[in-house]
Amino acid sequence: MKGLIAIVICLLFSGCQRNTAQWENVKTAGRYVQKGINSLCGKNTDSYLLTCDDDFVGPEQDEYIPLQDSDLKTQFASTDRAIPQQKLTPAILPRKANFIKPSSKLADTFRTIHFDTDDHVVREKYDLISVARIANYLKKHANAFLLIEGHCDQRASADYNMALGARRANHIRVLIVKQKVDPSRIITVSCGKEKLVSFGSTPQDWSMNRRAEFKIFEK
Amino acid sequence: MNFFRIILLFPLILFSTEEISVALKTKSGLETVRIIEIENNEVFYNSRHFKELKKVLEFDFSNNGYTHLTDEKFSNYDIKILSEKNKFLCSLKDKKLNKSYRFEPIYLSGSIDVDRKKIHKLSDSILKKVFGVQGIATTTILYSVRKKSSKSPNDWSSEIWVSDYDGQNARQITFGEHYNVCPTFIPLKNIEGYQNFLYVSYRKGQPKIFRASFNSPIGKQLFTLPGNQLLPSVSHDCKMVAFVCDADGRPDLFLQKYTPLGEPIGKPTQLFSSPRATQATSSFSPDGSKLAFLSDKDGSPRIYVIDIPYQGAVQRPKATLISKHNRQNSSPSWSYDGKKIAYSALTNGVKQVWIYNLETDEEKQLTFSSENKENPRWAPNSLHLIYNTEDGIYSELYIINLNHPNPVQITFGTGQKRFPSWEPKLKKRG
Repeated sequence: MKGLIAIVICLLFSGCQRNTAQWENVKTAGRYVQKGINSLCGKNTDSYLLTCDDDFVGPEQDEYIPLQDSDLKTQFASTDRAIPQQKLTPAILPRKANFIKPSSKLADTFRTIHFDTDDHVVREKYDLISVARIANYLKKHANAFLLIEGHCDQRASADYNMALGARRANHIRVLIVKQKVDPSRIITVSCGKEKLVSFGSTPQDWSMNRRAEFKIFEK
Repeated sequence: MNFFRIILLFPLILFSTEEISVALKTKSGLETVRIIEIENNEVFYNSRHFKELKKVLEFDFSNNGYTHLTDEKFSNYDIKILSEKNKFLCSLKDKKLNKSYRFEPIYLSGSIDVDRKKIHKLSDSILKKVFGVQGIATTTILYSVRKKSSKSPNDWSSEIWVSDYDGQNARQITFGEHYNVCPTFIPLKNIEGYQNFLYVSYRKGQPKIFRASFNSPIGKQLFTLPGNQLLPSVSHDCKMVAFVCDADGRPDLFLQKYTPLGEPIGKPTQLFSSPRATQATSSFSPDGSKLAFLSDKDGSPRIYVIDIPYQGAVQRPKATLISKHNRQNSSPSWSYDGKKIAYSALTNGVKQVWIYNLETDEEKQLTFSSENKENPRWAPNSLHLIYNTEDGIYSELYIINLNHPNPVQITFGTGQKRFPSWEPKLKKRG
């Protein structure tokens, strides 16, 4: 019986490797299954009780009317919780032109982070260590502001990449804010596929373009 | 047998006083038009000017979606053009009905840019007279042109341009070597036509949506929402603007409603968001009751349709998937007749333009050539589309029509031309 299961798993994975479409089917099916399980567990309730401030950093209510769907606040909490952008007055917010590439001394701290295709989550351990280093730097330098640029490779369309770039930059912002850094010191900019660093059409070129870059400003 | 017929009919042909014309239906189903230039030495402007204007007329009748040009004698329609002093005279013979029409003379200015517009107007008048349909020859196109910045060799600038629908008469609207993208016409007509538009500019650092006009291209920032504001779309009655914004920490779909006078009604509403999803380009149905948009909420980016809630949404509206055939989709555009949604989809490794038919729930591939195609946008006649190709180095604009899906390149030269937007519906012209 165990052998049969192993063969089925092997066949499934080998099929996915050969055929991207099948893998997409598996992913899509997986999401629907998860939704179903959540539904059975009663996790699709319309509202829920906030237990602490950290549970949900609410939007600035004077700016827009937010959706109240509970899954926007609870589901996938560890990696995909969103932290609303802060409205910053021009006096506080440095102009983008004032942000500069970190000096060579800080290059290791503010290392470019790379993403998987069509993904916005930082998965590699050394990338997560980089994020932790950036958070530590910001905690130590109270006058420092961080600008995160989210970039994409050239394969998907320009419009989708603009949104995906924002998603990537925001994900890193969330990871840094979770380490007790004031969110108002972090600005995100989506560059989509507008600023490529590698113009070739190999997987290496695409990988280099799927990135988040950092710039800093110190008062 | 045929030989005897020819022998019998030969005397008739020889002595016939009138031409025998046989209208032949072409394979494509388009009507055939022959443009005949009548020689006249009594002209104010040089013959080159007249030839240029003839080319304009030829382009219009090759690409209007109802006719195509022929040099054959047996055309369905003959258009005769004549230059007399500073006038451009035009008449049309409908050979099927054996009717002739004479059109108002066009007084030429001598400026090719001005006179081109007059010829486009004539083309639309002829189309209206013969086929009873609204032409698109007088419409314009907004788009962005991306170039290497002169300030820094590693930087790019992108500015907004406008041109006639055939790519001619192009002029730059925004200046300053900023990064401006995603222009979209506001369907609000003033005395000078449709001159208002929205666009996304990076000039403040983060991308923000600006409302501008041809005379005042810098414009004003439309929303005070924090974060990145991207990909605006305007409803046909100008009472709603949908856009993507990460104010809530994700790129979500937002909606702002307006009064008929253009005053915002309340605050922007977060219209659609999903925990792991990225939302992108949206497009309103003509009646403003629905919105098509791009989301990767179920895996890869696909096109969904939602009902726009009458009042602010508290719960996420139910999204209906429409692009089931392909996975990597983008840039939905709802046609003015409400029956079709055009979008770009990765098909056998190449991004092609597809059409989703809302009446039959069917998807159909429109383009097949080897270049990647993005940002299809409908013309007001719901027959033509414009899109840009994209290969990382070159991007040009093409127009195509559903009756004769043969793409025609309308832009040339330096810069990457992208994000086209076709001037909205024109009711009173023609």
